[in-house]
Amino acid sequence: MARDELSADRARSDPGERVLCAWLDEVEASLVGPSRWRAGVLDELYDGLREASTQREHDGLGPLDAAEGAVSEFGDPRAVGAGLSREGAAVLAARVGAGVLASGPVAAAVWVTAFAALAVPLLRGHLAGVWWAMPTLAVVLAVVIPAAMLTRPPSGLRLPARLRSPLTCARTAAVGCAAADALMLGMVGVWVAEHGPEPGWGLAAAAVAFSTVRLIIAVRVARSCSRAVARLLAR
Amino acid sequence: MRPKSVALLRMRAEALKGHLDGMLLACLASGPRHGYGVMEALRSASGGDFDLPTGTVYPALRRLERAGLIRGDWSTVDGRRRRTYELTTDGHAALGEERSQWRRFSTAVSALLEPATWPATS
Repeated sequence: MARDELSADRARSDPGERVLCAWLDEVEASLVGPSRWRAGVLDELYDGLREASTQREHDGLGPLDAAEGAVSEFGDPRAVGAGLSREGAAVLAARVGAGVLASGPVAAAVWVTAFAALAVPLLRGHLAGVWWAMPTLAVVLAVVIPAAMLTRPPSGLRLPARLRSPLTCARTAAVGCAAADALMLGMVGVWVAEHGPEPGWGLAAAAVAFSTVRLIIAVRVARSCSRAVARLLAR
Repeated sequence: MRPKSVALLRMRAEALKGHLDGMLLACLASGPRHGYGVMEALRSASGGDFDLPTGTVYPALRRLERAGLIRGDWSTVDGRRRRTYELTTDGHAALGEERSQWRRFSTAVSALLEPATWPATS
């Protein structure tokens, strides 16, 4: 059973449990990382606190004194949260980077297939009409791909200070990913407005759906990275 | 005198930091342990000298897991979730390397710090 359910039951009748919960709430307030990772860390800390508390009860202390002793042994919750947040930030950044790098080729394949089905002039070597924005997309991708790769920097690589934070790189990758999808959707929107429905729109609709979903996820991820960066900088 | 002892303590903490990974791997060499179990093992094996804080041990375990040196698995104990860590094959290799480096280092430092056994020349 997860900590939340278990301790909520116990906290009603057990004053020691309330002490443990208050300590964990303080850790939780300062913790940075993906939500499942954070929940796992809190479950792990809760188990450790219960273990420390139970040992003290076996030594003859009452439940409240045992819980206070356990909390005191575990130390300042903000310091524990800060130590774990560095790791959580690395995990979050690596996941964002992996997500961007994995979804990029899929998006490219879906859009190239859609363009081929629509027979847009782009594939015949012209940047006609709205497709003039394609070079902008290339610039965005030239930022997104290295940023996503730097979310897990190879050991020994010397980087400028600004690029040393995996979370900052993850935020850049997510923002760039959202910008790339917004560009594609904007371009195809103008194309539709100019040309109306054409054969092959089924594939274009799939590409639009894919990019819309990825855009929404990228915006949410960029926001959570920004919040995490702000939390880490606030310390 | 006080500033010197503070500086010495800081130096020891720094020295300890360099060996933290090796010590954590060593705690898991005898078998799987949960996070608090690792903290206790460090404390008892060092005779209470290494009472490392939670904010050091738990993040280090997660980092070692991400590096593939240990593996964490969830189980249920007394109705609550418990994460138990054990060494991976890479972790065993890293511990072996850490041990041999430590032997070389401690032998060299002992040779310098231990009182000389030969008579002083005038």
